Amino acid sequence: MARKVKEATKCYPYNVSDVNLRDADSNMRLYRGMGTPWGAIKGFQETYDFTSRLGAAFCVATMHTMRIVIPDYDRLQTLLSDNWGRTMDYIWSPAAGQIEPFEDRFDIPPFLKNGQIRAAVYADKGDTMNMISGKIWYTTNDRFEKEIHRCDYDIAGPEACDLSLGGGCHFCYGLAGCPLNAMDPERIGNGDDYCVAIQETKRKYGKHPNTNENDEFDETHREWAVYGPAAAETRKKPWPKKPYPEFIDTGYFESPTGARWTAGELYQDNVNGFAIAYAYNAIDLYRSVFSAEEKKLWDLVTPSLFEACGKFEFVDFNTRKATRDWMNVPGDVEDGRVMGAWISLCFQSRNVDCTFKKFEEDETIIEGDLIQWDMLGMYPELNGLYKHIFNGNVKTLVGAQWTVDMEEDFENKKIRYIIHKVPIGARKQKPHLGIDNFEDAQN
Amino acid sequence: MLLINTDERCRAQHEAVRNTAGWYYFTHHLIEVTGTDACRLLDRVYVSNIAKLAPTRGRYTMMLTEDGIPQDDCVIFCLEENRYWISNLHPPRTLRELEEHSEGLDVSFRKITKEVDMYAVQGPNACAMVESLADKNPSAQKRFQIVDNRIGDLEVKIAKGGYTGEAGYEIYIKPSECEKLETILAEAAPKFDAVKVDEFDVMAYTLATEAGLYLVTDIDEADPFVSGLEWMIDWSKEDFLGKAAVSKAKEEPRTKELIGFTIDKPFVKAHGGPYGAQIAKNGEVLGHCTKFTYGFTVGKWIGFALVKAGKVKTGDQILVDYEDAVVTERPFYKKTN
Repeated sequence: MARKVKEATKCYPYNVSDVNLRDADSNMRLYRGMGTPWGAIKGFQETYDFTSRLGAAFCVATMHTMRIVIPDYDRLQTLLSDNWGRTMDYIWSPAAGQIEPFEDRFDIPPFLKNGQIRAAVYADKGDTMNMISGKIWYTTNDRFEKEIHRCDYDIAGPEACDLSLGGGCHFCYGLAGCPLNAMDPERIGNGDDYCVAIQETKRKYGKHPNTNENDEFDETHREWAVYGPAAAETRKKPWPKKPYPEFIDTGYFESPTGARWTAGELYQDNVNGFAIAYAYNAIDLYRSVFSAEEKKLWDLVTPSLFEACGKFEFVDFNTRKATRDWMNVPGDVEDGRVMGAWISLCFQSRNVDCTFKKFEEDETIIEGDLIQWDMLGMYPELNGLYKHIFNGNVKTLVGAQWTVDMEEDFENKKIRYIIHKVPIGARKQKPHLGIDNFEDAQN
Repeated sequence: MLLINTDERCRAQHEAVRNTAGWYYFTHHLIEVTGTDACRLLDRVYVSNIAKLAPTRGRYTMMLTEDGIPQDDCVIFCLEENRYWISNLHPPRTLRELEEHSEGLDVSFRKITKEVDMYAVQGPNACAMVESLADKNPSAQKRFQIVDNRIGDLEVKIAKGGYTGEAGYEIYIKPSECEKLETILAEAAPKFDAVKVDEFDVMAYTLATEAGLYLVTDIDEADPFVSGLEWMIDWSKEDFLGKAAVSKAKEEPRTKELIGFTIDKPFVKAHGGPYGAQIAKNGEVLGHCTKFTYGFTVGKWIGFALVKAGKVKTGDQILVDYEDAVVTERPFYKKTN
């Protein structure tokens, strides 16, 4: 008899569902999240944490690549911020038609025509869906102050924080409907204990402290410039830091305007790609801004750097063992199946439909939905970047002999990662053996 | 740093409404419900007795969840037989429940927010101001009564009521005529010392909170007995959404209560909302702040908090995110004349 489930809006095998999902017979909570082939089931919070940090790790690799490709920080940040800012400015302009759906979804009362509350409710929900916990200090329609306690992107460094402010927060300007100053005077990614986000209307608070005398940002007056307590100072707060947002406990998030999202809806919004928006901006620059030399450098650096990031993920033997235990890998399984399981968790955590096409000792092939994986088909470049990370992962999680390759099946909208042993480097050709074509030698 | 208590623009507009009059664009969401079973549907979904509403009469009421928790408070107007307006702030919840409970009924409903705008005129001089402009004198209207009228050559509906603790009216008008109405109001305002209010915090927070008024978002998950809204419930109704749960809750002891508090310091930062400032007393965490703003008339920071029942009484000292506060009666301000 099929198990009855009550209050379910969606239910995927091995995928995330609302935390309030209960079995209708036993009334037990069903915390399905993701699972491994060996029966390790991960609940909602673990799955959410996993995907959040996966996005952050990707962001780290991206930003570190950008440091090499564009070593001039000001130029780098200007390009990234301008790109994201332009996108946000367009999306949240009246012409794009997104304001009305936002007002509907966020229960914005019609008489709240402008003011920072409109932007703040969107930002607050955005933080929450990215597992960013914090505490609002103060809010009126002219000023918003919030401290952030947890941000999984803190490891990405100042590039990501500055990009959030220089580009990402441009949505605030469109949603507020009036001139706004947005500032982050403290940022965890810059070494501070907390992030502090402030928004204030220009009509009450005057010009942005970072602007020139005309209240404009320019080459010397940066939108993302940090000001405030130095990173070395620790401002003591009387209240404890929240390790995760409240929806993990309650199953829903409610904005100050009364609009609600279930935990499942927040998760869906997260995995629809916003979380790794930093990588998109880098890819956008590659596509349309990089010079030929910069493109060449990006093409050269990304395989190595992403692979190195992947290798370091499990380089410590204890980390490797802990991960194997976490995945419930049997002791006698020391082959590509372990990596296949890891990739399946990456797919599952991002709600990508996936299946094992082959799951054997000598080769494992995992197939996922291409459109879901590369941000609704908009960024196919991500597939290769993931491959580089996985190719590094496998060397430490499984063994140095293993390799992850990729097949993109655009016709059927599938992506396959193949985990197998492939000789690389000089091992491929041994001149003294008189072998010119290694593939022939295999036969 | 400018906090709202030193915001002179907010102060001026707030005090105008308290002492003379203020007028402002105050459009809420509006859902029109029509059909021979319109009243039956509304009675199924809302706690009050809608069937008793005569044409032109209105009622402040609420909609519960199945678990007996208020999920929307609103004013329902009976415009005429089989035609109602619901003025609220959470149309998705309302439409969802109307949809779920309309099976088998001859009824239709739709959101008409974009077809009707509303202006509030509030304050001691507000009634005189509107009465001087309206074709038919609305002074005899009962609270929440809504009647067709004219202001100049503009067709309007005028409802008696407001969200400030002051007397006043709310004028419903077609969006295309808003500009003309604003011109008329602006021209009449000086005679009544009325000002145009455009500060959202004044319209939505400072005036209402002072007067002890709140929205469903200010009471978190408090049931009607905790939030003091049980008076809306007509227990004689055979059934309504959430009746079973709220009937059960009626018999149970209260575990939470909604309190008011004030903070008498110039510089205070606190947040009231679903995840508002922590309320504590003698080292014990009692709950959280659901609403926080500044009461310009009472001259203090004011707020509501949902706390464990029986732990505090009026006059007690509590901490609001480590700021000293005093438990007070609600409302914080009452009209004396």
